[in-house]
Amino acid sequence: MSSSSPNLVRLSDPEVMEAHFSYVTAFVREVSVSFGGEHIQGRLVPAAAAGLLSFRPHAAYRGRVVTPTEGKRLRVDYESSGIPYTFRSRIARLVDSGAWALRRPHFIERLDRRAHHRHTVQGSAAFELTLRGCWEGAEARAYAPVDISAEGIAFRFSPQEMPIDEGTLLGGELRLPEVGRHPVLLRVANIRTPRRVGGLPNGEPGERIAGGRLVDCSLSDRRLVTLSLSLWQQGS
Amino acid sequence: MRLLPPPDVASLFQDANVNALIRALRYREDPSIRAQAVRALGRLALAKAVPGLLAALSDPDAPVRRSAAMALADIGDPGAIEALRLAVTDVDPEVRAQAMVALGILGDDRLPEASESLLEPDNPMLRRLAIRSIGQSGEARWVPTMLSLLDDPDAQIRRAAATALGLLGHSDALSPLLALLADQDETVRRYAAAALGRLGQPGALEGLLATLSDPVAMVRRDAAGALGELGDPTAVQPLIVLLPDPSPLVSESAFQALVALDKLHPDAGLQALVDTLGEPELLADCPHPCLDAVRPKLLERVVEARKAGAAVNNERHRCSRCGLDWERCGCWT
Repeated sequence: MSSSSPNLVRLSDPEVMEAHFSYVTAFVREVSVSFGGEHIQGRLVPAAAAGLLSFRPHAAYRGRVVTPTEGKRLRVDYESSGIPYTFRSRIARLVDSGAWALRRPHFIERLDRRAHHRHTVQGSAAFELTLRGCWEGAEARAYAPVDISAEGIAFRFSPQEMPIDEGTLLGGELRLPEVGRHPVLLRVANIRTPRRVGGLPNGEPGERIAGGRLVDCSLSDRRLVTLSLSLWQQGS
Repeated sequence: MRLLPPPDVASLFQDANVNALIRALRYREDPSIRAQAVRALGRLALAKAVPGLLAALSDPDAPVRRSAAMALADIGDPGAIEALRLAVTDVDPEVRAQAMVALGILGDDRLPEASESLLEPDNPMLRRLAIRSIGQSGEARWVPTMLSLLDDPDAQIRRAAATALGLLGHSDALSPLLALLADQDETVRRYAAAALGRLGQPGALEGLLATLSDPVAMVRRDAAGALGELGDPTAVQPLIVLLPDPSPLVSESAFQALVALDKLHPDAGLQALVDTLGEPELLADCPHPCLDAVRPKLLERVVEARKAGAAVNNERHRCSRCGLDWERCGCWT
Protein backbone atom coordinates (compact mmCIF):
# COMPACT_ATOMS: atom_id res chain seq x y z
CA MET A 1 0.00 0.00 0.00
CA SER A 2 1.38 3.36 -0.87
CA SER A 3 0.17 6.76 0.17
CA SER A 4 0.61 9.35 -2.54
CA SER A 5 -1.14 12.40 -1.12
CA PRO A 6 -2.49 13.39 2.25
CA ASN A 7 -6.07 12.72 1.21
CA LEU A 8 -5.70 9.47 -0.67
CA VAL A 9 -4.50 5.94 -0.05
CA ARG A 10 -3.51 3.93 -3.10
CA LEU A 11 -3.18 0.15 -3.16
CA SER A 12 -0.55 -0.71 -5.75
CA ASP A 13 1.43 -3.65 -4.36
CA PRO A 14 0.47 -6.66 -6.56
CA GLU A 15 0.11 -8.99 -3.56
CA VAL A 16 -2.05 -6.52 -1.66
CA MET A 17 -4.18 -5.99 -4.75
CA GLU A 18 -4.53 -9.73 -5.27
CA ALA A 19 -5.69 -10.19 -1.66
CA HIS A 20 -8.02 -7.22 -2.00
CA PHE A 21 -9.64 -8.53 -5.18
CA SER A 22 -10.00 -11.99 -3.61
CA TYR A 23 -11.88 -10.35 -0.78
CA VAL A 24 -13.99 -8.18 -3.07
CA THR A 25 -15.03 -11.04 -5.34
CA ALA A 26 -15.97 -13.12 -2.31
CA PHE A 27 -17.67 -10.61 -0.06
CA VAL A 28 -18.65 -7.37 -1.80
CA ARG A 29 -22.15 -7.90 -3.05
CA GLU A 30 -22.44 -4.85 -5.26
CA VAL A 31 -20.15 -2.66 -7.27
CA SER A 32 -21.11 0.23 -9.53
CA VAL A 33 -19.61 0.56 -13.00
CA SER A 34 -19.78 3.92 -14.77
CA PHE A 35 -19.03 4.73 -18.41
CA GLY A 36 -20.37 7.37 -20.76
CA GLY A 37 -23.11 8.53 -18.38
CA GLU A 38 -24.31 4.97 -17.64
CA HIS A 39 -24.21 3.53 -14.11
CA ILE A 40 -24.65 -0.20 -13.80
CA GLN A 41 -24.69 -2.29 -10.63
CA GLY A 42 -23.35 -5.80 -10.48
CA ARG A 43 -20.67 -7.97 -8.91
CA LEU A 44 -16.99 -8.49 -9.50
CA VAL A 45 -16.30 -12.19 -9.96
CA PRO A 46 -13.04 -14.07 -10.47
CA ALA A 47 -11.93 -14.23 -14.10
CA ALA A 48 -10.66 -17.34 -15.77
CA ALA A 49 -7.71 -15.58 -17.43
CA ALA A 50 -4.77 -14.11 -15.54
CA GLY A 51 -4.57 -10.34 -15.44
CA LEU A 52 -8.32 -9.91 -15.80
CA LEU A 53 -11.34 -9.38 -13.57
CA SER A 54 -14.92 -10.09 -14.48
CA PHE A 55 -17.87 -7.81 -13.93
CA ARG A 56 -21.28 -9.42 -14.03
CA PRO A 57 -24.16 -6.90 -14.22
CA HIS A 58 -27.14 -7.64 -12.01
CA ALA A 59 -29.85 -9.50 -13.90
CA ALA A 60 -32.10 -6.45 -13.96
CA TYR A 61 -29.61 -4.62 -16.20
CA ARG A 62 -28.94 -7.35 -18.73
CA GLY A 63 -30.24 -6.38 -22.11
CA ARG A 64 -31.52 -3.06 -20.83
CA VAL A 65 -28.45 -0.87 -21.03
CA VAL A 66 -26.06 0.09 -23.76
CA THR A 67 -23.35 -2.54 -23.69
CA PRO A 68 -19.95 -0.91 -24.01
CA THR A 69 -17.52 -1.89 -26.68
CA GLU A 70 -14.21 -3.60 -26.07
CA GLY A 71 -11.54 -1.14 -25.00
CA LYS A 72 -14.06 1.20 -23.40
CA ARG A 73 -12.80 2.93 -20.27
CA LEU A 74 -14.91 2.60 -17.18
CA ARG A 75 -14.86 3.36 -13.52
CA VAL A 76 -15.65 0.84 -10.77
CA ASP A 77 -16.84 2.00 -7.33
CA TYR A 78 -17.68 -0.08 -4.31
CA GLU A 79 -17.60 -0.04 -0.53
CA SER A 80 -15.98 -2.41 1.89
CA SER A 81 -16.44 -1.95 5.64
CA GLY A 82 -18.03 1.41 4.94
CA ILE A 83 -14.89 2.61 3.12
CA PRO A 84 -15.31 3.60 -0.54
CA TYR A 85 -12.87 2.19 -3.10
CA THR A 86 -12.50 2.98 -6.76
CA PHE A 87 -10.45 1.89 -9.72
CA ARG A 88 -10.51 2.60 -13.42
CA SER A 89 -10.21 -0.07 -16.04
CA ARG A 90 -10.90 -0.96 -19.66
CA ILE A 91 -13.04 -3.68 -21.10
CA ALA A 92 -10.75 -6.43 -22.39
CA ARG A 93 -13.55 -8.41 -23.96
CA LEU A 94 -17.24 -9.14 -23.65
CA VAL A 95 -17.93 -12.70 -22.57
CA ASP A 96 -20.83 -14.76 -23.94
CA SER A 97 -22.23 -15.34 -20.45
CA GLY A 98 -23.00 -11.62 -20.17
CA ALA A 99 -19.96 -10.84 -18.02
CA TRP A 100 -17.41 -8.23 -19.01
CA ALA A 101 -13.75 -9.12 -18.70
CA LEU A 102 -11.90 -6.10 -17.29
CA ARG A 103 -8.20 -5.39 -17.32
CA ARG A 104 -6.65 -5.38 -13.88
CA PRO A 105 -5.78 -1.82 -12.89
CA HIS A 106 -2.33 -0.74 -11.82
CA PHE A 107 -3.79 0.50 -8.56
CA ILE A 108 -6.92 0.86 -6.49
CA GLU A 109 -7.79 3.95 -4.50
CA ARG A 110 -9.25 4.03 -1.03
CA LEU A 111 -11.39 7.10 -1.12
CA ASP A 112 -12.28 7.64 2.51
CA ARG A 113 -9.70 10.32 2.91
CA ARG A 114 -10.14 11.83 -0.51
CA ALA A 115 -13.89 12.15 -0.09
CA HIS A 116 -13.23 14.41 2.88
CA HIS A 117 -9.98 16.24 2.36
CA ARG A 118 -8.02 16.51 5.59
CA HIS A 119 -6.76 20.01 6.28
CA THR A 120 -3.60 20.22 8.33
CA VAL A 121 -4.34 22.74 11.05
CA GLN A 122 -1.52 22.00 13.45
CA GLY A 123 -0.13 25.16 14.97
CA SER A 124 -2.99 27.35 13.82
CA ALA A 125 -4.60 29.38 16.59
CA ALA A 126 -7.83 29.44 14.58
CA PHE A 127 -8.75 25.93 15.75
CA GLU A 128 -9.37 24.76 19.30
CA LEU A 129 -10.66 21.42 20.49
CA THR A 130 -12.15 20.71 23.91
CA LEU A 131 -13.26 17.17 24.68
CA ARG A 132 -14.60 15.17 27.57
CA GLY A 133 -14.91 11.40 27.94
CA CYS A 134 -17.81 9.61 29.57
CA TRP A 135 -15.90 7.63 32.16
CA GLU A 136 -16.49 8.46 35.83
CA GLY A 137 -14.83 11.73 36.80
CA ALA A 138 -13.96 12.71 33.22
CA GLU A 139 -13.10 16.39 32.88
CA ALA A 140 -13.20 18.59 29.79
CA ARG A 141 -9.71 19.15 28.39
CA ALA A 142 -8.20 21.14 25.56
CA TYR A 143 -6.38 19.20 22.82
CA ALA A 144 -4.22 20.36 19.93
CA PRO A 145 -5.91 19.42 16.64
CA VAL A 146 -3.54 18.08 13.98
CA ASP A 147 -5.85 17.77 11.01
CA ILE A 148 -9.57 18.18 10.44
CA SER A 149 -11.99 17.04 7.78
CA ALA A 150 -15.75 16.69 7.50
CA GLU A 151 -15.18 13.07 8.49
CA GLY A 152 -13.14 13.54 11.65
CA ILE A 153 -10.41 15.18 13.68
CA ALA A 154 -6.91 14.02 14.57
CA PHE A 155 -5.49 15.46 17.77
CA ARG A 156 -2.51 15.08 20.10
CA PHE A 157 -2.88 13.61 23.56
CA SER A 158 -0.78 12.16 26.33
CA PRO A 159 -1.73 8.56 27.27
CA GLN A 160 -0.41 9.21 30.78
CA GLU A 161 -3.01 11.90 31.27
CA MET A 162 -5.99 10.54 29.33
CA PRO A 163 -7.22 6.93 29.10
CA ILE A 164 -8.05 7.20 25.42
CA ASP A 165 -8.14 3.97 23.45
CA GLU A 166 -9.52 2.82 20.10
CA GLY A 167 -13.28 3.05 20.33
CA THR A 168 -13.36 5.69 23.09
CA LEU A 169 -16.23 8.11 22.72
CA LEU A 170 -15.46 11.80 23.33
CA GLY A 171 -17.79 14.77 23.19
CA GLY A 172 -17.10 18.46 23.24
CA GLU A 173 -16.59 21.49 21.06
CA LEU A 174 -14.43 22.39 18.10
CA ARG A 175 -13.72 26.06 17.44
CA LEU A 176 -13.62 26.70 13.71
CA PRO A 177 -12.88 29.87 11.70
CA GLU A 178 -16.05 31.75 10.70
CA VAL A 179 -18.13 29.26 12.73
CA GLY A 180 -16.92 29.60 16.30
CA ARG A 181 -17.63 26.85 18.84
CA HIS A 182 -19.32 23.85 17.30
CA PRO A 183 -20.41 20.70 19.17
CA VAL A 184 -18.75 17.43 18.16
CA LEU A 185 -19.01 13.77 19.13
CA LEU A 186 -15.99 11.66 18.22
CA ARG A 187 -15.16 7.97 18.29
CA VAL A 188 -11.43 7.26 18.37
CA ALA A 189 -10.67 5.10 15.34
CA ASN A 190 -6.91 4.77 15.73
CA ILE A 191 -3.97 5.86 17.84
CA ARG A 192 -0.54 6.37 16.36
CA THR A 193 2.82 7.89 17.23
CA PRO A 194 3.62 11.26 15.59
CA ARG A 195 6.44 9.52 13.69
CA ARG A 196 4.06 6.94 12.25
CA VAL A 197 1.65 9.64 11.09
CA GLY A 198 4.56 11.27 9.28
CA GLY A 199 5.44 14.91 8.73
CA LEU A 200 4.70 15.86 12.31
CA PRO A 201 7.04 17.03 15.05
CA ASN A 202 7.33 14.49 17.88
CA GLY A 203 5.97 16.86 20.53
CA GLU A 204 6.17 15.86 24.20
CA PRO A 205 7.74 12.46 25.00
CA GLY A 206 5.15 9.68 24.76
CA GLU A 207 2.62 11.89 23.01
CA ARG A 208 0.22 10.14 20.61
CA ILE A 209 -2.07 11.16 17.78
CA ALA A 210 -5.68 10.01 18.06
CA GLY A 211 -7.71 9.83 14.86
CA GLY A 212 -11.34 10.49 15.78
CA ARG A 213 -14.34 9.99 13.49
CA LEU A 214 -17.34 12.26 13.84
CA VAL A 215 -20.27 10.20 15.06
CA ASP A 216 -23.93 10.77 14.28
CA CYS A 217 -23.07 14.03 12.54
CA SER A 218 -25.63 15.51 10.16
CA LEU A 219 -24.78 16.25 6.54
CA SER A 220 -25.35 19.96 7.14
CA ASP A 221 -22.89 19.91 10.04
CA ARG A 222 -20.31 18.10 7.89
CA ARG A 223 -20.84 20.67 5.16
CA LEU A 224 -20.36 23.47 7.67
CA VAL A 225 -17.01 22.02 8.73
CA THR A 226 -15.95 21.75 5.08
CA LEU A 227 -17.00 25.30 4.29
CA SER A 228 -15.16 26.65 7.31
CA LEU A 229 -11.98 24.78 6.35
CA SER A 230 -12.28 25.91 2.77
CA LEU A 231 -12.72 29.57 3.76
CA TRP A 232 -9.82 29.27 6.18
CA GLN A 233 -7.59 27.84 3.47
CA GLN A 234 -8.55 30.61 1.05
CA GLY A 235 -7.68 33.22 3.65
CA SER A 236 -4.39 31.68 4.79
CA MET B 1 -2.33 -29.11 28.23
CA ARG B 2 -0.81 -27.07 25.43
CA LEU B 3 -1.83 -23.38 25.34
CA LEU B 4 -2.90 -22.12 21.96
CA PRO B 5 -1.08 -19.00 20.70
CA PRO B 6 -3.24 -15.85 20.67
CA PRO B 7 -5.01 -15.23 17.37
CA ASP B 8 -3.34 -12.70 15.07
CA VAL B 9 -6.38 -10.46 14.69
CA ALA B 10 -4.72 -8.06 12.25
CA SER B 11 -3.95 -10.88 9.83
CA LEU B 12 -7.39 -12.40 10.26
CA PHE B 13 -8.90 -9.03 9.43
CA GLN B 14 -6.73 -8.59 6.35
CA ASP B 15 -7.76 -12.04 5.17
CA ALA B 16 -11.39 -11.25 6.06
CA ASN B 17 -11.40 -14.54 7.98
CA VAL B 18 -14.74 -13.97 9.68
CA ASN B 19 -15.04 -17.45 11.18
CA ALA B 20 -11.65 -17.18 12.88
CA LEU B 21 -12.47 -13.68 14.12
CA ILE B 22 -15.71 -14.98 15.63
CA ARG B 23 -13.71 -17.72 17.35
CA ALA B 24 -11.33 -15.03 18.65
CA LEU B 25 -14.27 -13.47 20.50
CA ARG B 26 -14.04 -16.48 22.83
CA TYR B 27 -10.32 -16.15 23.52
CA ARG B 28 -10.50 -16.07 27.32
CA GLU B 29 -6.87 -15.38 28.12
CA ASP B 30 -6.70 -11.80 26.82
CA PRO B 31 -9.60 -9.33 26.68
CA SER B 32 -7.63 -7.02 24.39
CA ILE B 33 -7.63 -9.79 21.74
CA ARG B 34 -11.41 -10.08 22.09
CA ALA B 35 -11.80 -6.29 21.79
CA GLN B 36 -9.62 -6.26 18.66
CA ALA B 37 -11.68 -9.07 17.15
CA VAL B 38 -14.89 -7.16 17.89
CA ARG B 39 -13.56 -4.04 16.16
CA ALA B 40 -12.34 -6.07 13.19
CA LEU B 41 -15.77 -7.67 12.79
CA GLY B 42 -17.38 -4.23 12.98
CA ARG B 43 -15.11 -3.00 10.19
CA LEU B 44 -15.87 -6.00 8.02
CA ALA B 45 -19.56 -5.23 8.60
CA LEU B 46 -20.93 -8.68 7.81
CA ALA B 47 -24.26 -9.85 9.18
CA LYS B 48 -22.71 -13.23 9.93
CA ALA B 49 -20.85 -11.62 12.85
CA VAL B 50 -23.97 -10.29 14.57
CA PRO B 51 -24.68 -13.29 16.90
CA GLY B 52 -21.07 -13.26 18.12
CA LEU B 53 -21.17 -9.52 18.69
CA LEU B 54 -24.46 -9.74 20.57
CA ALA B 55 -22.83 -12.27 22.86
CA ALA B 56 -19.87 -9.89 23.26
CA LEU B 57 -22.27 -7.33 24.78
CA SER B 58 -22.21 -9.61 27.86
CA ASP B 59 -18.42 -9.99 27.90
CA PRO B 60 -16.93 -9.55 31.42
CA ASP B 61 -14.54 -6.90 30.06
CA ALA B 62 -16.03 -3.40 29.58
CA PRO B 63 -13.87 -2.39 26.55
CA VAL B 64 -15.10 -5.53 24.74
CA ARG B 65 -18.74 -4.64 25.47
CA ARG B 66 -18.09 -1.02 24.42
CA SER B 67 -16.58 -2.08 21.11
CA ALA B 68 -19.39 -4.57 20.54
CA ALA B 69 -22.02 -1.83 20.83
CA MET B 70 -20.34 0.26 18.15
CA ALA B 71 -19.55 -2.73 15.92
CA LEU B 72 -23.25 -3.61 15.93
CA ALA B 73 -24.04 -0.04 14.90
CA ASP B 74 -21.45 -0.28 12.09
CA ILE B 75 -23.07 -3.45 10.78
CA GLY B 76 -26.47 -1.76 10.98
CA ASP B 77 -28.58 -4.81 11.81
CA PRO B 78 -31.82 -3.64 13.49
CA GLY B 79 -31.94 -7.05 15.18
CA ALA B 80 -29.35 -5.65 17.59
CA ILE B 81 -31.68 -2.97 18.97
CA GLU B 82 -33.17 -5.00 21.84
CA ALA B 83 -29.75 -6.07 23.10
CA LEU B 84 -28.45 -2.51 22.84
CA ARG B 85 -31.40 -1.24 24.85
CA LEU B 86 -30.27 -3.57 27.64
CA ALA B 87 -26.71 -2.29 27.25
CA VAL B 88 -27.95 1.21 28.11
CA THR B 89 -28.20 -0.07 31.70
CA ASP B 90 -24.64 -1.47 31.72
CA VAL B 91 -22.61 -0.76 34.85
CA ASP B 92 -19.88 0.88 32.78
CA PRO B 93 -20.68 4.47 31.72
CA GLU B 94 -18.75 4.17 28.46
CA VAL B 95 -20.73 1.08 27.47
CA ARG B 96 -23.94 3.00 28.25
CA ALA B 97 -22.77 5.90 26.10
CA GLN B 98 -21.77 3.68 23.17
CA ALA B 99 -25.08 1.83 23.37
CA MET B 100 -27.04 5.10 23.25
CA VAL B 101 -25.06 6.34 20.26
CA ALA B 102 -25.46 2.96 18.55
CA LEU B 103 -29.23 3.06 19.07
CA GLY B 104 -29.30 6.53 17.52
CA ILE B 105 -27.35 5.28 14.49
CA LEU B 106 -29.64 2.27 14.11
CA GLY B 107 -32.63 4.64 14.12
CA ASP B 108 -34.23 3.34 17.29
CA ASP B 109 -36.93 5.84 18.15
CA ARG B 110 -38.17 4.19 21.35
CA LEU B 111 -36.24 5.71 24.17
CA PRO B 112 -34.93 3.16 26.64
CA GLU B 113 -36.57 3.95 29.98
CA ALA B 114 -33.14 3.78 31.54
CA SER B 115 -32.19 6.99 29.76
CA GLU B 116 -34.16 8.92 32.36
CA SER B 117 -31.67 7.93 35.04
CA LEU B 118 -28.85 9.13 32.79
CA LEU B 119 -30.21 12.66 33.00
CA GLU B 120 -28.80 12.92 36.50
CA PRO B 121 -26.03 15.46 36.60
CA ASP B 122 -23.06 13.32 37.65
CA ASN B 123 -21.86 12.64 34.10
CA PRO B 124 -22.28 15.59 31.70
CA MET B 125 -21.57 13.59 28.57
CA LEU B 126 -24.07 10.86 29.39
CA ARG B 127 -26.63 13.56 30.12
CA ARG B 128 -26.11 15.09 26.70
CA LEU B 129 -26.40 11.73 24.98
CA ALA B 130 -29.57 10.93 26.93
CA ILE B 131 -31.10 14.27 25.94
CA ARG B 132 -30.24 13.51 22.34
CA SER B 133 -32.00 10.14 22.62
CA ILE B 134 -35.03 11.88 24.07
CA GLY B 135 -35.18 14.26 21.10
CA GLN B 136 -34.92 11.35 18.68
CA SER B 137 -37.71 9.50 20.48
CA GLY B 138 -40.23 12.22 19.49
CA GLU B 139 -42.26 11.40 22.63
CA ALA B 140 -44.17 14.45 23.86
CA ARG B 141 -44.15 13.24 27.47
CA TRP B 142 -40.53 14.38 27.69
CA VAL B 143 -41.34 18.03 26.94
CA PRO B 144 -41.60 19.14 30.61
CA THR B 145 -38.28 17.44 31.44
CA MET B 146 -36.56 19.14 28.53
CA LEU B 147 -38.08 22.50 29.42
CA SER B 148 -36.67 22.17 32.93
CA LEU B 149 -33.19 21.71 31.46
CA LEU B 150 -33.28 25.04 29.60
CA ASP B 151 -32.14 26.68 32.87
CA ASP B 152 -29.26 24.28 33.41
CA PRO B 153 -25.97 26.02 34.28
CA ASP B 154 -24.16 23.93 31.63
CA ALA B 155 -24.54 25.62 28.22
CA GLN B 156 -24.06 22.29 26.44
CA ILE B 157 -27.07 20.88 28.29
CA ARG B 158 -29.22 23.94 27.45
CA ARG B 159 -28.16 23.59 23.81
CA ALA B 160 -28.96 19.86 23.72
CA ALA B 161 -32.33 20.43 25.40
CA ALA B 162 -33.22 23.15 22.89
CA THR B 163 -32.42 20.80 20.01
CA ALA B 164 -34.49 18.04 21.62
CA LEU B 165 -37.45 20.40 22.03
CA GLY B 166 -37.25 21.30 18.34
CA LEU B 167 -37.41 17.58 17.52
CA LEU B 168 -40.22 16.85 19.98
CA GLY B 169 -42.23 19.54 18.22
CA HIS B 170 -44.58 20.65 20.99
CA SER B 171 -46.04 24.16 21.03
CA ASP B 172 -45.30 24.49 24.78
CA ALA B 173 -41.67 24.92 23.80
CA LEU B 174 -42.24 28.12 21.81
CA SER B 175 -41.94 30.76 24.56
CA PRO B 176 -39.03 29.10 26.40
CA LEU B 177 -37.12 28.72 23.13
CA LEU B 178 -37.77 32.35 22.23
CA ALA B 179 -36.38 33.35 25.63
CA LEU B 180 -33.30 31.27 24.85
CA LEU B 181 -32.55 33.52 21.84
CA ALA B 182 -31.16 35.94 24.46
CA ASP B 183 -28.99 33.32 26.19
CA GLN B 184 -25.52 34.52 27.08
CA ASP B 185 -23.93 31.56 25.26
CA GLU B 186 -23.80 32.00 21.49
CA THR B 187 -24.13 28.27 20.73
CA VAL B 188 -27.30 28.10 22.82
CA ARG B 189 -28.76 31.01 20.82
CA ARG B 190 -27.80 29.21 17.59
CA TYR B 191 -29.46 25.95 18.56
CA ALA B 192 -32.52 27.74 19.94
CA ALA B 193 -32.97 29.49 16.59
CA ALA B 194 -32.59 26.22 14.70
CA ALA B 195 -35.06 24.52 17.05
CA LEU B 196 -37.61 27.30 16.47
CA GLY B 197 -37.32 26.73 12.73
CA ARG B 198 -37.95 23.02 13.22
CA LEU B 199 -40.84 23.71 15.59
CA GLY B 200 -42.51 25.68 12.81
CA GLN B 201 -44.72 27.85 15.03
CA PRO B 202 -45.73 31.19 13.43
CA GLY B 203 -45.16 32.85 16.82
CA ALA B 204 -41.42 32.44 16.33
CA LEU B 205 -41.30 34.94 13.46
CA GLU B 206 -40.67 38.16 15.40
CA GLY B 207 -38.01 36.62 17.63
CA LEU B 208 -36.16 35.12 14.69
CA LEU B 209 -36.31 38.36 12.71
CA ALA B 210 -34.80 40.21 15.67
CA THR B 211 -32.08 37.54 15.88
CA LEU B 212 -30.94 38.40 12.34
CA SER B 213 -29.04 41.28 13.98
CA ASP B 214 -27.32 39.13 16.62
CA PRO B 215 -23.65 40.15 16.98
CA VAL B 216 -22.50 36.55 16.35
CA ALA B 217 -22.48 35.53 12.70
CA MET B 218 -23.45 31.90 13.26
CA VAL B 219 -26.51 32.96 15.26
CA ARG B 220 -27.58 35.17 12.35
CA ARG B 221 -26.93 32.24 10.01
CA ASP B 222 -29.08 29.79 11.95
CA ALA B 223 -31.83 32.38 12.42
CA ALA B 224 -31.89 32.90 8.65
CA GLY B 225 -32.09 29.14 8.12
CA ALA B 226 -34.93 28.92 10.63
CA LEU B 227 -36.84 31.66 8.81
CA GLY B 228 -36.53 29.63 5.62
CA GLU B 229 -38.02 26.64 7.45
CA LEU B 230 -40.76 28.75 9.01
CA GLY B 231 -41.90 29.77 5.54
CA ASP B 232 -43.42 33.18 6.31
CA PRO B 233 -42.98 35.57 3.33
CA THR B 234 -42.62 38.48 5.79
CA ALA B 235 -39.03 37.33 6.16
CA VAL B 236 -38.14 38.01 2.51
CA GLN B 237 -37.09 41.63 2.88
CA PRO B 238 -35.01 41.13 6.07
CA LEU B 239 -33.30 38.14 4.45
CA ILE B 240 -32.42 40.19 1.37
CA VAL B 241 -30.91 42.82 3.65
CA LEU B 242 -28.86 40.05 5.27
CA LEU B 243 -27.35 38.89 1.96
CA PRO B 244 -24.29 41.18 2.05
CA ASP B 245 -23.44 40.09 5.59
CA PRO B 246 -19.70 40.18 6.34
CA SER B 247 -19.77 36.41 6.90
CA PRO B 248 -20.13 34.33 3.72
CA LEU B 249 -21.80 31.61 5.80
CA VAL B 250 -24.56 34.05 6.72
CA SER B 251 -24.91 35.21 3.10
CA GLU B 252 -25.24 31.63 1.93
CA SER B 253 -27.81 30.78 4.60
CA ALA B 254 -29.89 33.88 3.74
CA PHE B 255 -29.72 32.89 0.08
CA GLN B 256 -30.85 29.32 0.83
CA ALA B 257 -33.69 30.64 3.01
CA LEU B 258 -34.83 32.88 0.12
CA VAL B 259 -34.77 29.87 -2.19
CA ALA B 260 -36.91 27.94 0.32
CA LEU B 261 -39.38 30.84 0.63
CA ASP B 262 -39.54 31.12 -3.13
CA LYS B 263 -40.58 27.47 -3.38
CA LEU B 264 -43.31 28.00 -0.78
CA HIS B 265 -44.51 31.33 -2.22
CA PRO B 266 -43.89 31.39 -5.97
CA ASP B 267 -46.14 34.44 -6.23
CA ALA B 268 -43.94 36.56 -3.96
CA GLY B 269 -41.91 37.84 -6.92
CA LEU B 270 -38.72 36.24 -5.71
CA GLN B 271 -37.93 34.09 -8.71
CA ALA B 272 -35.98 36.76 -10.58
CA LEU B 273 -33.94 37.48 -7.48
CA VAL B 274 -33.20 33.82 -6.78
CA ASP B 275 -32.28 33.16 -10.42
CA THR B 276 -29.96 36.13 -10.37
CA LEU B 277 -28.27 35.10 -7.16
CA GLY B 278 -27.72 31.66 -8.64
CA GLU B 279 -25.67 33.38 -11.36
CA PRO B 280 -23.66 36.02 -9.50
CA GLU B 281 -22.23 37.53 -12.69
CA LEU B 282 -25.75 38.56 -13.66
CA LEU B 283 -26.25 40.60 -10.51
CA ALA B 284 -25.40 43.82 -12.26
CA ASP B 285 -28.51 43.47 -14.40
CA CYS B 286 -30.88 42.28 -11.69
CA PRO B 287 -34.03 44.41 -11.79
CA HIS B 288 -35.10 43.67 -8.22
CA PRO B 289 -35.27 47.02 -6.35
CA CYS B 290 -34.43 45.42 -3.02
CA LEU B 291 -30.94 44.81 -4.31
CA ASP B 292 -30.03 48.42 -5.04
CA ALA B 293 -28.74 49.19 -1.57
CA VAL B 294 -26.78 46.01 -1.19
CA ARG B 295 -25.62 45.17 -4.70
CA PRO B 296 -21.84 45.81 -4.45
CA LYS B 297 -21.26 43.90 -1.22
CA LEU B 298 -23.72 41.24 -2.22
CA LEU B 299 -21.83 40.36 -5.35
CA GLU B 300 -18.60 40.01 -3.44
CA ARG B 301 -20.11 37.87 -0.69
CA VAL B 302 -22.11 35.54 -2.87
CA VAL B 303 -19.11 34.89 -5.07
CA GLU B 304 -17.02 34.14 -1.98
CA ALA B 305 -19.61 31.75 -0.53
CA ARG B 306 -20.05 29.97 -3.85
CA LYS B 307 -16.29 29.58 -4.27
CA ALA B 308 -16.10 27.93 -0.86
CA GLY B 309 -18.96 25.61 -1.80
CA ALA B 310 -17.40 24.74 -5.13
CA ALA B 311 -14.11 23.81 -3.52
CA VAL B 312 -15.93 21.07 -1.63
CA ASN B 313 -17.06 19.04 -4.65
CA ASN B 314 -14.53 19.50 -7.41
CA GLU B 315 -12.25 16.45 -7.21
CA ARG B 316 -14.33 13.56 -8.47
CA HIS B 317 -13.63 13.66 -12.17
CA ARG B 318 -9.91 14.29 -12.13
CA CYS B 319 -7.26 11.58 -11.97
CA SER B 320 -5.62 11.79 -8.57
CA ARG B 321 -2.23 10.93 -10.07
CA CYS B 322 -1.86 13.19 -13.14
CA GLY B 323 -4.66 15.71 -12.60
CA LEU B 324 -6.22 15.17 -16.05
CA ASP B 325 -9.79 14.13 -16.63
CA TRP B 326 -9.57 10.39 -15.90
CA GLU B 327 -11.17 9.49 -19.21
CA ARG B 328 -8.11 10.97 -20.95
CA CYS B 329 -5.27 9.96 -18.66
CA GLY B 330 -3.20 6.80 -19.06
CA CYS B 331 -2.43 6.08 -15.42
CA TRP B 332 -4.88 3.32 -14.67
CA THR B 333 -4.47 0.49 -17.12
